[in-house]
Amino acid sequence: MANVIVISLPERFDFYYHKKFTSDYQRAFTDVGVNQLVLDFSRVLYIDSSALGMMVLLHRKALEKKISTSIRGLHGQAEDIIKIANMERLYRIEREK
Amino acid sequence: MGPRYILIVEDDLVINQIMTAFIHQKGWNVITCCNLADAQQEIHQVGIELILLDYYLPDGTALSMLDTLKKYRPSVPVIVISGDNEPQTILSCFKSGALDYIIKPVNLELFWHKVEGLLARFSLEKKVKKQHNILEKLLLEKSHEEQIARRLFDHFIEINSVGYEFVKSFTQSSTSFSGDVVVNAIAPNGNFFLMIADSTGHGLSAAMPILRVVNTFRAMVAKGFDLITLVSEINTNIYHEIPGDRFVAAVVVEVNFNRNQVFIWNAGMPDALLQLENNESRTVSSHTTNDLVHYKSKNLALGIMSPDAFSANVEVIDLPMAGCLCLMSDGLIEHKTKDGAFLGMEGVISLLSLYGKDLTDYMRETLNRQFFDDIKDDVAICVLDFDLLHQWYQHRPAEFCIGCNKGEFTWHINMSGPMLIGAEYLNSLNHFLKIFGFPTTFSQKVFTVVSELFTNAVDYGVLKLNPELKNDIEGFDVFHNLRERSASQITMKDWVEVELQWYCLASELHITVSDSGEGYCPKPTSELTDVLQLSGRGLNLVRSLCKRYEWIAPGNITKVIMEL
Repeated sequence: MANVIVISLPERFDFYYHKKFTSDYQRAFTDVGVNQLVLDFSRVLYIDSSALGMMVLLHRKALEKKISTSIRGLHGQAEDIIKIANMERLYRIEREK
Repeated sequence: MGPRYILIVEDDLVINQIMTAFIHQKGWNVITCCNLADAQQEIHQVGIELILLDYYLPDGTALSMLDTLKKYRPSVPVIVISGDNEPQTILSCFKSGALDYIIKPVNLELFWHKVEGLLARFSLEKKVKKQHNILEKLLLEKSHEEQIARRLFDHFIEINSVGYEFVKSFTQSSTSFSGDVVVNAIAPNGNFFLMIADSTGHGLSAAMPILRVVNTFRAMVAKGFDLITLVSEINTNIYHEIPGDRFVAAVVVEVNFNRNQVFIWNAGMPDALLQLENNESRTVSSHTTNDLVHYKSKNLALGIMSPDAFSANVEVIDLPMAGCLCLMSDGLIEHKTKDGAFLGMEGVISLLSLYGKDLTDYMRETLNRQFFDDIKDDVAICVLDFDLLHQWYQHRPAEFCIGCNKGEFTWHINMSGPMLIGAEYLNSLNHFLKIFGFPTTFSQKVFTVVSELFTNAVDYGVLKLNPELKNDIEGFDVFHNLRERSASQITMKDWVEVELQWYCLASELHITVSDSGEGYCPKPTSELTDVLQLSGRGLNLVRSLCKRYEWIAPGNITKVIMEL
């Protein structure tokens, strides 16, 4: 039984979201039995390289805790950037459920 | 209201006077006549509410007067007074329109009781008639206003709505207004958008949210946004502006010719049905029936989810070469056929199997014969024909192709002081590029590149932070904390300059970002898109988005070229 945590990201996922992002995933990690973490990109219109860095960090931390990571609702410019950065190697990209 | 009268036609002067005095006492005005000839004159007097008519008068009987009254004053009640108690006489009076017959000698109190009853009844009848007239007038006005509003509504829905051969639709309302609508639009990059929407409720209250939805749909498509951004924006508008018990179910489809894909977003509508031809197969998770692929609703209707929690679940399929996609509102599947059974999804599926792309034509021709006349809910159905869509795309008008901008420009900005922290000021660049007619996707890429170079100029040029800090997890956090602390040390002597030059013939945008720092040397990375590295990401992102990248020693100037 998957115990999923979804982190919903803002329109601008960039350096200035660092604190909120960190506290969001740290809170998620304290929940018992979480084995899947989903980043919801539905609202994201803009993403920068700092956000990519945050995603790499999150993936590493999730790996230590044996939590799988995936992305949902990817679209537009953010989708292009995620693909350029080869993020699908770290995050499973959900197309449809 | 003018004076009200009771007309007494009585040739016996004593009775006449007694009755007049009595009626005066009751607070009424009286007109008296002693023969029919005088009475014929008086009946035209305004304000007569009752006529007391003696049967035998010097110049004739009450019957001739009753005939006259029937002709000229049909709405005035008449009581005949007579010493004659012959049933035949009484009956002929009633037949001629008298409402009561009082036999002399008259008991005044009893007589007045009858008069009051009669007056009350007539006053009520008059009121009802008056209200009926008002109601009729109001209904007529309402119908006129609705017709005007309907014309305005239809005009709004149809304005800018181009009819394409590859989309066939049919809508029918249960009232003069429809909560169901089918609209389409072409994005600046040639992508095709189609939306079928169904608003809760009926009539005008259902039509109002639809206007907002259609308006936002058109504006967002015209600005070149993708499907998820579009539905997110519509959801935000509906959520904030429309009462909590109202929402709009919809299916939005984006045909993306650049990617050769179709995106389907279904929120609270019946299954979207994909009918394939030429043995095109689909490996999809959605279930299939009768060679149809179903795309079920996987999203909440628009206006339910708060904008902060909005999430979109979109189906992505390869653009079929032929076949069609059928979208419908629940009004169709909940329709009752003549035999009393619901049409249901199975009914629609069997009709689609029979009629395929011509299903909307069939619906238009047979709806009234096929179903009950009283339409319980608004009905909408549309069919997207992929074969005709491809034909249109191959021969589409040039205005949908991205043309070269006719001219050149330079955009220049220099910022200094603490305002360097915070990239909000660069947002105007996005807007500026759109005004100059650049496609949204290109404008967004330019914005990304400029933001990355600007951030590098601030972080490594002005703040002199060490990029190598980002090489491990702990360092990454340290870097972010350091950046926030150093930001307070920025002075007016610290600056960053951004310059954009557009070269029309080469279709190139040259971007130069320089800063007041001493220069820094970006560490070249072996693999541009090494996914696991933490430092140098921004630079790699810039390099993959640009045609050319140039770092100018000592390192406080970076030049890149982007190609449209």
